[in-house]
Amino acid sequence: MSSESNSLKQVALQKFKKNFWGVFSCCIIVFVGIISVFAYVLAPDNSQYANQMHLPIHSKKPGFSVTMLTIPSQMESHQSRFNKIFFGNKNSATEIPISSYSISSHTLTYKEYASDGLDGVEKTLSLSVFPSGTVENYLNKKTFLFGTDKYGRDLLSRVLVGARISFFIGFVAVFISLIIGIFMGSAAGYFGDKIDAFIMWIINVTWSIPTLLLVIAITLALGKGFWQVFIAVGLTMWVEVARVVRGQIISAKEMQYVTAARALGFNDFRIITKHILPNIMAPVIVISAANFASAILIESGLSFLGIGAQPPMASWGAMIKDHYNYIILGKAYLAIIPGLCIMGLVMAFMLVGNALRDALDVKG
Amino acid sequence: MLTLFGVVSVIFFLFNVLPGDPAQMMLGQNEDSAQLAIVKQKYGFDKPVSTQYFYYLNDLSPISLHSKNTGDYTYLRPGKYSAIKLFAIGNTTLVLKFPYLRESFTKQGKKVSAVLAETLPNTFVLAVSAIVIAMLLGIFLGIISALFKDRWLDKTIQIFSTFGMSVPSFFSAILFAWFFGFILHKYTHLEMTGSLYELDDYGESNHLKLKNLLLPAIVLGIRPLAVVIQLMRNSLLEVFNQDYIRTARAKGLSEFQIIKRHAVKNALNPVVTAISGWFASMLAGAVFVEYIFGWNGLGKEIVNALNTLDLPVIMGSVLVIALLFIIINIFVDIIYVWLDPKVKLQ
Repeated sequence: MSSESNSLKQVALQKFKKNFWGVFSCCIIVFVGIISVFAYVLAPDNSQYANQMHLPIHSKKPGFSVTMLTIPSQMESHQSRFNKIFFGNKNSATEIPISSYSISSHTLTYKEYASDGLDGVEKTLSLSVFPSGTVENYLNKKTFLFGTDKYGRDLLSRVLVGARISFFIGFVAVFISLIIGIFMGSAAGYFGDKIDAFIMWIINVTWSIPTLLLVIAITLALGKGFWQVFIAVGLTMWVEVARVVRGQIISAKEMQYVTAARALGFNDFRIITKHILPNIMAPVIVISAANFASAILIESGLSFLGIGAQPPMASWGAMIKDHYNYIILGKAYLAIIPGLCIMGLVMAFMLVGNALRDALDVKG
Repeated sequence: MLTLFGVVSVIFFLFNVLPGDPAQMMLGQNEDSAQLAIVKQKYGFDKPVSTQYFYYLNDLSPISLHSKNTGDYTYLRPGKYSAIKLFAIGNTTLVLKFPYLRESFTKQGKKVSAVLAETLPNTFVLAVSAIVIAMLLGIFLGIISALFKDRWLDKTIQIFSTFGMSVPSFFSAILFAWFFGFILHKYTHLEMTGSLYELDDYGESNHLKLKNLLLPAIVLGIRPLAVVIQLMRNSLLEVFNQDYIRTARAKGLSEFQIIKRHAVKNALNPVVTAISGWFASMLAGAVFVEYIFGWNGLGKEIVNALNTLDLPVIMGSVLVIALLFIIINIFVDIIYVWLDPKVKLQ
């Protein structure tokens, strides 16, 4: 229908589609989103948090490959398939990197992998450990595309699983900030007077404490952990949303459609939610995209300081923290890969924010 | 003033719902109940939260009430406060004093104000240098970007600016330290880490090492630089559309004269507002940069305090930064009037 294509949303969408970087960034975000949801399916190491350590092959170069002996776990697994896909395999087999092996009728003799030209320990294992007689199935060549970290974990898997936290914190923090921000902002803007003065005071107080320090204080109060960081970041970012909503509502309040709604006898709640808010969503959307980016930055910063996600959970910031000392040892990629990931994702959100701003015609 | 009161309250209550026992934290592993009781009494931890809150406010307020009983928390112990007695009412004395930020937990008996006095100037130097770099370079690049709007030069600067905004500061700090301080060390002679003042090789006197300032200041300046470029470009483009610029063009002024005389000052408004907002958050954002470059400033102190859970130091730092933020905002309003006489101070 022709009338539909003229709606504001359609126009904005058309404008957005013309912005190459905006669309490109959108694709990146969707791509990272899919990765973070299906991280354990895509990752070579599907143990929980991609935490399969092989100390003998720690911090190896990207593309390193080794023969890996997999000794199946003796414990019964009660994990459902669904659970395995989304939370990783909690009960994984033991993996031993080996340099050579020989098979006799009942035993398997293998030499453990040792780096720097050292000789590995030779060990023998009864073949009965392996369920079906074919030992060769448990001896595989394993390649580490991004190399291994300082505990010998697969860096690629850690990066994939780490995408989750960055992506997730953006959602949770933006969600919390939107709820509080819209509520506070519209109350202040719509009712004015004492409520406005009081809410502006809260806004000023929160605004005066630098975001990073406030988040640190809140995480200290709530305890370490990634949920606490989610909440803390959300609790600091609502201020910007509230300021924008308040400003918009103050000017929208004088519009005729609000007067009309008042004349019809609608209550305040209905006027705000049904009439004003849909009209002022554009700047809020733009701010949310920016908040998404800064939430990712703050989380990585906190993880870098060690007060974000706790090990063994994989987080990009924590990965940089673990490995930035290796940078002068010629293993810069250990810190640079997660760093580039953070940068890429943040940049994608910023570009989407810019594209949205142009498409929705928001000033500032 | 009201805002500051709010900040103090927020900080106090955030740090007082912490699960740990502060008295226990101070003594470390020392499990001596008698000693614990003494510490608790000395610092007022045995009192209910509301009383502790009053003590905290009383400690911070420049005009405060103090008891004459030696056992009370508010007793004017010599060395604790630097105060001038005003007058006494019954058992309490009203004094004028320097706000007391309490003592560090881990550095036994060292006042937080002393810790701040040591570290804050270093951070200040770093932040000011970073801002100066960001302002000068940012305004310059912003003007270029606006002049060559939509051409390749503008687009390159734009991409650079978005790039600068999305790099986490700790990551850029690591990269800069590695690249300029390690790989190119032969040519740059810059160190990976270092402070403004360093002991010389004999460990005797403090040396001023200005070259150590370069890398951290650049890294800290990256984000504000990106913001300044964007703001300068956008506001300059807006100014170019104004009538008086058209008049200036019609008068036959050169493009350089137009920018210098007419456009820049008017375009600076949003830049100044934004930069001042950035300044305070830079004092806090310096946390990562200082930590990685080993810069002996407030940020590094905060990280140390975080690791040792030295709460008074964290509380004091947050408070001072918030105070600076409020003061800077007042200054901004004044600068704003100077730049734009249409705005009047209320």
